[in-house]
Amino acid sequence: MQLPKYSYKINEHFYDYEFISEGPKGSIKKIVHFTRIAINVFNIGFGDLDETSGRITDKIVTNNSDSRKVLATVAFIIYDFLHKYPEATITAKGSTASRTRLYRIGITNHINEIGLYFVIYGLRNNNWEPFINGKEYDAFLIRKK
Amino acid sequence: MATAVKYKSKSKKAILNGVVNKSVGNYETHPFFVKKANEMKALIKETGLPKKIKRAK
Repeated sequence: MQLPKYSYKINEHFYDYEFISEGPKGSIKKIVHFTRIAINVFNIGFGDLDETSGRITDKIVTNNSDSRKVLATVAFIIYDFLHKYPEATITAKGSTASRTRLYRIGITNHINEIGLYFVIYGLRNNNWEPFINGKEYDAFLIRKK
Repeated sequence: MATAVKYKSKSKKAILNGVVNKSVGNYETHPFFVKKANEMKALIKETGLPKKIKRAK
C-alpha cells in the first residue's frame, strides 16, 4: 500500500504500538493494542493517550486533520501484526457508529489492495458475511489469506 | 535499543517498517483496552465466528 503513514514503534511481543499524530492540534500520542479474546482471535483497539493522566480515549474527535493518515498507519500496523501472527484473526469495532462507518469507508477505499492479502468479514444483523462494498456493518473481522 | 523490522509484501515492491523498541508500554491491563476487548468478547459470544474461521482454528 502506497499511503502516507506515521512511523511507529512496536513492543517486543508485537501487541502494542505507539505513534505520534502531528497536526494543527499539536502532537497526540496514539496507542494501538491487540487483546487476545479467544484462541488466535485478537481485538484491536486504539485511542489517544493523555500522558499526564494515563487515560486513553477514542471518544474525543481529535480532528488533527490527519484521519486518513492515522487509519493508514493502523492498517500497516495490522499488516505487521498479521505477519508476526499469521494464524491470527483480528476483530474491530468503532466506539461509536460513526467511527465504525469511518473504518468501513477506509476499507472500501482500499478494498482492492486489502483483498490481495486479507479476508475481511463484516457483521450485519448479528451475522458475519464477506465484506461487500456499500453495505453498512457493525464490526469487522480480518484474517490473512 | 531499537531494532528495525522490515517486511516485504507479496508483490516484493513495498517494504513496511516498524521499529521494535522496548520503551513501548504494555497496555494489556489498561482499562480502555480491557473494556473494548470485553465488549467484543460479548459480541462474539452472541454471534459466533464465521464458519471458515472456526474451521481454520
